[in-house]
Amino acid sequence: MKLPPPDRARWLAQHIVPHERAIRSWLARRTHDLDIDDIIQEMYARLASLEDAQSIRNPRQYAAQTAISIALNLARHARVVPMIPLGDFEEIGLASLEPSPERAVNSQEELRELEKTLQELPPLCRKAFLLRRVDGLSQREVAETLGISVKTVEKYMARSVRFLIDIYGRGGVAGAQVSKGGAVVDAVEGDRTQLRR
Amino acid sequence: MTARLSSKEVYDVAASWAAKMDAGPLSADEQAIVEAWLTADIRHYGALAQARALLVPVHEPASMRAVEPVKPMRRTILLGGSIAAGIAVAVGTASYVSGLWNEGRYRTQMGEMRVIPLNDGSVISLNTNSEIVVRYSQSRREIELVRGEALFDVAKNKQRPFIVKTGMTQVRAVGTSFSVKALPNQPVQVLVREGVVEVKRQDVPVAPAVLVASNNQAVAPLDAPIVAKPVETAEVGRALAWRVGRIAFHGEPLGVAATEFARYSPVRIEIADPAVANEKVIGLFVSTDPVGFANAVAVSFDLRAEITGEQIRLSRK
Repeated sequence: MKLPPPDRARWLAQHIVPHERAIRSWLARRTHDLDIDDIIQEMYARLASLEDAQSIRNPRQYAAQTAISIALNLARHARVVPMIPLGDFEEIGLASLEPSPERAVNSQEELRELEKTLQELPPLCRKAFLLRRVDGLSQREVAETLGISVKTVEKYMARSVRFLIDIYGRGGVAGAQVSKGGAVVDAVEGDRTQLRR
Repeated sequence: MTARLSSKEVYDVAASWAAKMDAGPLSADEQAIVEAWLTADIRHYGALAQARALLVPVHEPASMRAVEPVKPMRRTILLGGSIAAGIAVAVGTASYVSGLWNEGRYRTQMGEMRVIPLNDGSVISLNTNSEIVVRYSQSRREIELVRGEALFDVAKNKQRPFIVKTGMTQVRAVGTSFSVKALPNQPVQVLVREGVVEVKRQDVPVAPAVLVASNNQAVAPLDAPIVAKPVETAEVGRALAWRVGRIAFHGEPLGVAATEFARYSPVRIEIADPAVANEKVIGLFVSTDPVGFANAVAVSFDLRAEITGEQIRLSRK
């Protein structure tokens, strides 16, 4: 039994979360009778239990392939007619295994987008989450800073995470992409020239 | 056995656990509860990983920034340490999860193409009517190509060589991308797209292994030494068109093209006239549509295409 490497959550945050929406929307337009959340959850499970994530040359593509493989298995299981025509592999960039360069994260921009996305949350909850996620304070430090209990901070964290999961799942607030998935969505959705990036 | 949670409910629970782990180390009781929960369903494990990823701080903590302004690597490692506490909880299910999808036998039907991501980060694409057996151990990653054709995109790992065996031929790689083709009555073909692989014959131990570099193809006949020759990049792309459900021809005789289509469907294209069989074909075709192919060549070479059941006869008008 091997320990998952300690940096896996960060790897997922950097390499997979930004592409989740693109993968979801690609799946959604090609599957019916399958629960996309089921597929995405299993995709994360597989990626989290990878022996070595760092050696994956193109995480976005690997994640997409994993999701498709799960979808096909579920379809077989559910006796649903497989819905992914082979030609479509090309569309999501599965044909080309050239690694696409990772998008450099502009932290200022990311911060603004995250704040915008979180507008629907109560102000204190939003503030607590941003202190933790953006400023990197511990939950205890967040509690001290805001003068609220640690239990409340934990609740706010859960609520914010749950909210973000839904944002990714639903396509979310237009233009408020925490991880700047927009360009990727465009590239996946029928744009076969995505390798230009 | 508890009832299966909906994916929304799974996310609710996962978000709570992620927040709790982010707050500090779990108690022994909590740890036992979360472990049981993670083991119950692979989706639980995935949802928690997803939720935890959403709580990873965007930047390194301000305190660390102040102390060590110019050591980004070190900071990453330190941060990793704090995340480790939470992830360690998931250890109990790690082997359970990975064991689900690595080892085993994978098959494709005629006309089917399948992509198999393995848990070391490698990806295998399996062409029509093919079969592989995956055997991973601590020291090596071994794949047996029972029949057919597969492309291997191998994740780099010097400690664990990636070995593909088919018949008496063995291909060894560390981190690279190559395809192996083992068709009936044909020598094994190894096409290297990236990196270098080593091809050898297990039944001829005295023969040296042949190193095959990218954009080279090795042929391993049963009764002659292995030979490698360069292949143009465009040709490599054409040879791998099957990954997107296509067959690419670039001047192959029509007869050869007909044989190629027979790999992908039970429909047979028959060409009695040798002159017709020798016509050169260029183009990209859907591999599972021999009728479309036959009609297309019939138009361009002014042939008659008679289709009866699973047979297509191509002849001069």
